Amino acid sequence: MEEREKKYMETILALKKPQPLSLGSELERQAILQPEHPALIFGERIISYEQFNRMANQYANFFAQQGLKKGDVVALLMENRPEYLIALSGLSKLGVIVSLITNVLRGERLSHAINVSEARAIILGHELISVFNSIENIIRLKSPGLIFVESEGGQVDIPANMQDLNPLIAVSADSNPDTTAKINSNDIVAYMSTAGSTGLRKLIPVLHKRWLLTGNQVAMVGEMTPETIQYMCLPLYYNPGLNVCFASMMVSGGSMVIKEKFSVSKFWDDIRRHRVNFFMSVGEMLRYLCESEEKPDDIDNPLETVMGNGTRGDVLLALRRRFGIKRIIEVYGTTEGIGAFINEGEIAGMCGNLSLHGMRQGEVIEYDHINDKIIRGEDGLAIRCKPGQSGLLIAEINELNEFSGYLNEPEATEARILKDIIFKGDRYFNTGDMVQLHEGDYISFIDRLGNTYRWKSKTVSADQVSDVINKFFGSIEESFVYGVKIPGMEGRCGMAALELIEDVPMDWKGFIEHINKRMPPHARPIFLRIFKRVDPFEFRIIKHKLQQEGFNPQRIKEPLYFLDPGKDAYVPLNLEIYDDIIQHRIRF
Amino acid sequence: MDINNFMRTQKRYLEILAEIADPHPNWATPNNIIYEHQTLRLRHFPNKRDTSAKRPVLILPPQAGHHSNLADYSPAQSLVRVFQRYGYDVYVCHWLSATREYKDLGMADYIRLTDEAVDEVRRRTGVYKIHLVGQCQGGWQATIYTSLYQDKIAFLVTAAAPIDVEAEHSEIIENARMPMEVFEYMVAAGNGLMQGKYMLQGFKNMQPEEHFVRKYYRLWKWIEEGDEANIKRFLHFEHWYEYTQNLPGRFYLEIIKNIFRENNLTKPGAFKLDSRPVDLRNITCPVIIMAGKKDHITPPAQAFALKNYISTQPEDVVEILTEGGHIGTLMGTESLREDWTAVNEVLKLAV
Repeated sequence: MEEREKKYMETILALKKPQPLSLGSELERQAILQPEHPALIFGERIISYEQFNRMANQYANFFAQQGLKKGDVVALLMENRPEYLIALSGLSKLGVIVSLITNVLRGERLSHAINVSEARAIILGHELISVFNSIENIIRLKSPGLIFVESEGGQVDIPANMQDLNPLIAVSADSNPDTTAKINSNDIVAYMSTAGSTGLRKLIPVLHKRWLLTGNQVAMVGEMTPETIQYMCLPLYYNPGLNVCFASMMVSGGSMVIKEKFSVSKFWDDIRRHRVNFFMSVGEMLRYLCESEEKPDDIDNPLETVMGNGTRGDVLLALRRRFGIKRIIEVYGTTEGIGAFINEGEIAGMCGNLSLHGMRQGEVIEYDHINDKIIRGEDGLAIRCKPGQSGLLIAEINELNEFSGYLNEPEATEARILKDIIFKGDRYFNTGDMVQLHEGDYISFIDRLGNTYRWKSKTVSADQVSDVINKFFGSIEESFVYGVKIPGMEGRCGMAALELIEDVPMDWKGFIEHINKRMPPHARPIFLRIFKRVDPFEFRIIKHKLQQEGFNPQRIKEPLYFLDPGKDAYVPLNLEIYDDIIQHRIRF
Repeated sequence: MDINNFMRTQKRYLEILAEIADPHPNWATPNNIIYEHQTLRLRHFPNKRDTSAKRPVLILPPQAGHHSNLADYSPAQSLVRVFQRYGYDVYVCHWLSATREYKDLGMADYIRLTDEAVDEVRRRTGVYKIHLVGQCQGGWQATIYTSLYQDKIAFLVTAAAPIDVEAEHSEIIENARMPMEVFEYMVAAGNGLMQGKYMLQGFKNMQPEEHFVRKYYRLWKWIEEGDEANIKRFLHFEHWYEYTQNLPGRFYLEIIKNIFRENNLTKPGAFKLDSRPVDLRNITCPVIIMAGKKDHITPPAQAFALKNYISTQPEDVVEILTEGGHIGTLMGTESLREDWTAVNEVLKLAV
């Protein structure tokens, strides 16, 4: 084992017990170790570790002056840019929990995400002022309820009830606050939002321990060094952004190129320009790269390692052949999930492995689909699957892999914990995912159980989509949402079974406006199927059948509609469109 | 048009007019009657989903000669269903047409009946404070009730409710300034009851062209064009609009005097109900005030004026201006989708 790898492993094992380690302490360590080394790169801005630390300190010292202290919550609603990570790091030095708000949410979903965190203040990116204003009436902040706008130092019209954060931060002290040393690995660094397995979005407390654990595991597997330059175009409020990339960058002392979003056309230019050698991809990103027009210099790029989440096996092989990527490591993970399931062997089609460097992460156990329950033997314990069998993936809850639960949702938390599985008294986290077990403990993803589905590597809560649809008053009597497979694409896209109100013309224009205003693009149902009657309880029972019927207009007698991405409208789904979808002439 | 077509159209037209001559409005959502007393029939609308909201909602529909099903007019236009979608257990005060037996019920009696409804909801749900929603005339009623029983109300919502009738001109106020004898005569003509048909006539006279000409012209055209969807909607509306019910004469005259002529809601203690002075300053709970931009019956300023007469902190008063008119604000699809959704989102913040 190499020295660096050994060090990562030592940290991982040490985290079994509370350690005086945190995001803040890691940043301060790197600022001393390599002050001039680039930490964050954004456009023309290059921010060294020392600068990063000083700016984070200004946040910490300013918010301390505002009376915020350990355990308080500040919501962060901003697009990807350095200030996101600077604010997060600075506040974490105080022990202030940063609630990372999903910035693609709108309307009621967005207000719920902010309100549920019970924040005392919010930091708002200036680019999202109008979005925030649209829900201001229904936002509830705890006292003092401050609203700060991070303006990037530019000329921004700031509403009267908000304060420009930049001049306030600029005059704050940039010295290390003494609070950093009081934060340990078992404290909470952030709240992340997740669809959960049912109901409204929930918050997950992310401990410094989990952030450090994931960071060290990824750094170890990705063989990261200070010379590692990551390309970050994923939302920073996502698990891959916060826990996989940011944490691994920080513990390894590497650099991160931050982009607002993923762009196929700019990707390789950016990679070459910044000499990027590590990239974390989710969902269809890699497929888009493979489907882009071939160029003679495709192979001429510095990218060495790609970590994927939701990459199809054929895409992995194509990527390796065309772009000469040396390592393509697939990882399995969810926001609230525990354990590190990593396909270190780079076997095509596998999403992970039940063991990581000799440490067992979880099991695949037999599952009864019909009755929706775990199959147990005569001894009352679960039955482990054999290679070739499909079953439920579960992750062991232990001193290293703790499940911190859903914030203020004890019942939902308890529902994810399984007991007496392999041995009496053990506890496992129910991932809610069906996987197939392969030789060597590799696993491949099959499907998601419960009322969620994965689309574009994001978990979508069918209940929430249905809730939004049902609130299109005046046209919709009832709806039931489920995921359907599009051949050749990962995950399932949304399909809504609708019962329309009799004798009332469907307001299609109003409907798409309603959907667009309240749902992020990945959650919008791609297909609609109009039934005479929809009973959610009955449809839940026949969900599997509905999924199998898919969206083929030749097989389905009910009227079908398709969300045409070009027209941004629901159009009747005919055979021609169906064919275009199947042949991937229509892209999502 | 050939003569056969004309005859067919005319036949259908007359059939429809004959049908609406005997209007019979219905509730759109299944419900149970859980309490009855005098002119109050309290209806519970069980939520077929889990009721996730902490507090129940009681809706007070207007008492202006129309049926109380305004709160649940049709599957597409139902305030009851909006609240249900947001997880509420919904109750509605169904005000019955007054018979001679109840001709002497007054404002104090209707506040007492409201209190009986509130207490029944509280008893059934075990919740101490409930949300009270008042539509139009039900709005001032909810406001007076809250001022007298503030400890039982968590959130007060008024929609298109006249509070300060001098805040903005409206025809209905002008009409109310006729000599009091005119109103007393109408009550006397109804043997102590204010007949709904008089009130309906009053509303129609405010938009005579629409109610006496245009809508009949549209109906003829729809029959000619075979536009069954619009004919069905016309019928549904007319069954509600043309159905009238009577108010106790005393109640009606007290409303005319206190609300519309003397503007007494703006004058703390100017009138008493059951010996208790009505003083809106007793209202301290969060309040949502809705008004319609095109409302000619309750212009926005009359409704929004509520905030000036209560003790609720300004940050706990939410004003919502809808794009619609009077009926549109109360039950229009656009208003239900956007504005009543906003009401529900604010209510969710209530502790």
